[in-house]
Amino acid sequence: MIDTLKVIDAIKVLNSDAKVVVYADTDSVLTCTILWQEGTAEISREDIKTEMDKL
Amino acid sequence: MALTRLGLNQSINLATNVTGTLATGNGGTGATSFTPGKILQIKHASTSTAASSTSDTYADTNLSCTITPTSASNTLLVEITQNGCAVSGSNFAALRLRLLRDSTAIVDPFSGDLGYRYDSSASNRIGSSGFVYKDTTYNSTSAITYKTQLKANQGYGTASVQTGSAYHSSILIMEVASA
Repeated sequence: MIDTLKVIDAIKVLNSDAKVVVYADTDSVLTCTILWQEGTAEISREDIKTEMDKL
Repeated sequence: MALTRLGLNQSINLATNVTGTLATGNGGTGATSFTPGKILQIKHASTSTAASSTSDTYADTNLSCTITPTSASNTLLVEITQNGCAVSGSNFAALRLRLLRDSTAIVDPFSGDLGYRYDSSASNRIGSSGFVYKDTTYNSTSAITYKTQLKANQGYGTASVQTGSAYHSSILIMEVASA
């Protein structure tokens, strides 16, 4: 299963104010459940994956 | 009354030579009422699917269990062990957990402001959080789902449960006969 903390770390790099909930319900950031909360603009899965690869 | 006396080392075939009804108190079946305090049924669920949040809005933790009570007036004991609780990303990060019956929050929170993070390095694992709720007001014989939800209190940092999918959380529901 995917490391939800790593997904959030990547999201935070792209938007430090992001409010999200991430579930490790699959093995990939491309398919796991991400709930964008409190009006946070959605970030593309590919962008998150690119950032994760840098961490 | 005819009596049969068995001698030493003699046996009787209980399957074919004995008839009648065994009292429920001696292990027979067919009881229609139960002494208060008896466990009528047990439901259990567990998960290792992680959930992490940066939001101050509650969201599901993936931990849930459903029971259909045999009576609307019994007692449901709901025992929760939420493992792999962690916070990170802010000195003010705090995990809050609450318990819901269907869509109604019944204990909010049962874990609050856990594990403030003062170390700016790795996430601060704070272990597990346990809780037992005695529900005597569910008043239903329809299926009831109990579940937990998490949030990062006030939106500081990141709060997570079953962190890294390396921890199993569980929920146990027992229906106990009431007086």
